[in-house]
Amino acid sequence: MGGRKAKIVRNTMFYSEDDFNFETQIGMDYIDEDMNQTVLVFQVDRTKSATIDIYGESEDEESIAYKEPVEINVILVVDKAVNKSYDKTQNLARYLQIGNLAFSVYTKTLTNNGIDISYGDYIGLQVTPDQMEYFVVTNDGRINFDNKHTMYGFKSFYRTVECAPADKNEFSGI
Amino acid sequence: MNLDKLDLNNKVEGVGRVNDIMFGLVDGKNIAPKAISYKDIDSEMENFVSTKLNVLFGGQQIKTFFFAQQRMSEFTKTWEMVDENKNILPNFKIVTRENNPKPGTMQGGFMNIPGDLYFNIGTFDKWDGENKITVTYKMKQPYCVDILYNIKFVTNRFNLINELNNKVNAAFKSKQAYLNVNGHFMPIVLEDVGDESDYDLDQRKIFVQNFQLKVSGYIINEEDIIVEENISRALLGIEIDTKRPSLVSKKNNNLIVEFPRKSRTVMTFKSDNDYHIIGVETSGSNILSYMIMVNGELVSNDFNLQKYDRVQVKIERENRNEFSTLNLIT
Repeated sequence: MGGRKAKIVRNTMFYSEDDFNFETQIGMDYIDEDMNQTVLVFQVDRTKSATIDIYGESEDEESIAYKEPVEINVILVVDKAVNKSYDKTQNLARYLQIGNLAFSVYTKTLTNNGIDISYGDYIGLQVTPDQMEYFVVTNDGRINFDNKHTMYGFKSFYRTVECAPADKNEFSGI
Repeated sequence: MNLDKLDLNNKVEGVGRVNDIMFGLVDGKNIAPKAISYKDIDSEMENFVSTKLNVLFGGQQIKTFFFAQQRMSEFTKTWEMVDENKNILPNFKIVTRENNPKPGTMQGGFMNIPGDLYFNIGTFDKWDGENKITVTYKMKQPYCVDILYNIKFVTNRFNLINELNNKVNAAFKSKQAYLNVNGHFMPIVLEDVGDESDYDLDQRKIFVQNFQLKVSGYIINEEDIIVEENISRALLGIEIDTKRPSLVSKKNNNLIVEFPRKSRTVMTFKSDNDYHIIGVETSGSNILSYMIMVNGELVSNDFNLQKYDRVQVKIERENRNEFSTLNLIT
């Protein structure tokens, strides 16, 4: 972001940039080393992906181009799978829809890995040693200056990203 | 009903007709319409959706599944195209049927003829080597049903919706398409087009497009068709005894030789025993004169006959149109 740059000075009577950085580092250490929950971020390369001109949707599961996948440490929550059916008249063509994925990630984690997560990016979650499930980002949590996402109202320090399961013929990953 | 199949007006003549008679049934000739069950109509509807409304994705034809309520049904149809979570993968088409079809409107609301009457629908002849047999096909009037099918197209690509929508509208641009069920053509009408997609922003998005099709069909049960065979011509073997009935009889030990009206005037017979003839009685029996020969020799009125002697009696009649009797008195 260009333009004017201003230092955050609110709530600084008993709190400072150093305190913020210290507490952020404690949290990141806990997440990275103690919890060690990770997801794989597939940032879609929107210029290289093959899409149908007018609709901008991918032609097949191979046509989505993505940047080098990056594994990041997060705190994640996967909702319970839901028993659903495609035919709602007679409840036929049943399937077990994977629950949504939501994860919180330190903003600094993204910065350190040189990535950003955007709406429509794909997230890989290793659920078993030989199975990875893919999700598509439905809410990238980019606007994160609400109270919950700030440290004592000083500065925002993490993002909550929400994802919905992606079809295998939409994105096949790696 | 497909009346052309009956081929009633196509009369074969000459050698063709002979062959028809000779080989009528053995060549598999069958003028009766095939039976139609709900299963046949369902099967043809699945075929219609699969072939006439086919959509390609990645060079492959998108599959069509006819589902029933039993859970086994979904597994047996879709096991080939599920992911590691055993979930069926889009894109695909589903065919479901209204489970309890209503009485049909194909006859414009008119009901069937009351009673379980059988109607002649065609005949042909066959020859089984001895008999000419007329084979008659009869059937009951089929009953109509309106069957509603829901076609669901599950896809995650807008472009595929365009393709299917194009196929559907092209198929029904002239009001109705047709199912060919066992040779019977049944009209299909596009009743409704709907959208049951999931558009929830925070959930998985998937297109589910609905097309409701109504088939105006009819059902012919197998027992509604009967085949009757009746013999129309038979070659009868008659043995005729060419011997004339004996005109020589015995009465009171006399031998009576009869000459029917307009018959020949010479009667020849063999003696069946030994006789001594003492006279010949001809009075009042329409005989003017007579001559008797035994074994070729002329005899008088008193002569002997031995067994197997050949006797020839020749008379002259007064009136040829009257009966004559000559009595050899023993």
